[in-house]
Amino acid sequence: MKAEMGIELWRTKYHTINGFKQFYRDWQPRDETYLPVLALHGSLTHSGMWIALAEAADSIRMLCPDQRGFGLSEDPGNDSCAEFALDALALGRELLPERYVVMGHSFACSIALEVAHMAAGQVAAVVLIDPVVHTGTPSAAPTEASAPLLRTFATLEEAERHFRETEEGEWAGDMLRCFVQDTMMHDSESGTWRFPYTPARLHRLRAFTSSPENDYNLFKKAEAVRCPCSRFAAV
Amino acid sequence: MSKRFPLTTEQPFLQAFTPEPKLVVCPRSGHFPTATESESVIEELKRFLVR
Repeated sequence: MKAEMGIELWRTKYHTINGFKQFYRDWQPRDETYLPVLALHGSLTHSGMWIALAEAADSIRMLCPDQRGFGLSEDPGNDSCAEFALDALALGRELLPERYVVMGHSFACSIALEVAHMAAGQVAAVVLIDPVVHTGTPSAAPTEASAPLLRTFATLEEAERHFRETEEGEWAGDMLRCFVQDTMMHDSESGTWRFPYTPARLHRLRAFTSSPENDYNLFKKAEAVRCPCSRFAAV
Repeated sequence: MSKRFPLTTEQPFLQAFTPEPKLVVCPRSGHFPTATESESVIEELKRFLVR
């Protein structure tokens, strides 16, 4: 979180939903001039991935939950796309006006499309940020190419180095440092940095999304939605 | 191209939608364009959200 003035515009809270305690952060700009956005993080991050974007965009309200088992939210133990979507819908119903936009990153693009399908009357549009497509047979290993080494980093610099070495993209200036600070969990006692999930949690999700039972099929979900969609693609 | 989204999948994916989505290419982004190309993401996002 960079701007001091931005802190007061973030509301952070827990609420109990679908049987578990979920953490969320809600960017509420003074001058809200766009439809609010329900922003769903990918499987390597948590709600912190939206901090810099919300603050830079300024005038877009962004409601950003830590999805089940990530960040500060509890893990109720089911990883189906439908369950994630129901969590998001319940949060949106409680905190957002009647019409809003759903934005998903990575594996959460399937969740965003599922939300749009389940609540066509509420979801005005969908934004997809670099979705993941699983290739090969259903039993093949997940294709998320840069699975992190599941470990703790002694310093922020070490965590930055990990992302620079494993992730594509041009991280200019202090972008990577901001990203790592916003998306990793810092232990103030030991000073270490860790990923915002346990290894077991991530492995369980990946096992499910690559299993024959998984319900994350992007194409089927794309066919089912009728609202406008914007898709951000990496090249 | 993205390590997570095969290039050959792009057109079939876009065509699965009705209406077809707007495609915004982020040439420097990697998997996290919201972090690496936030300015262009915000610009496009605002343009899209006023629809």
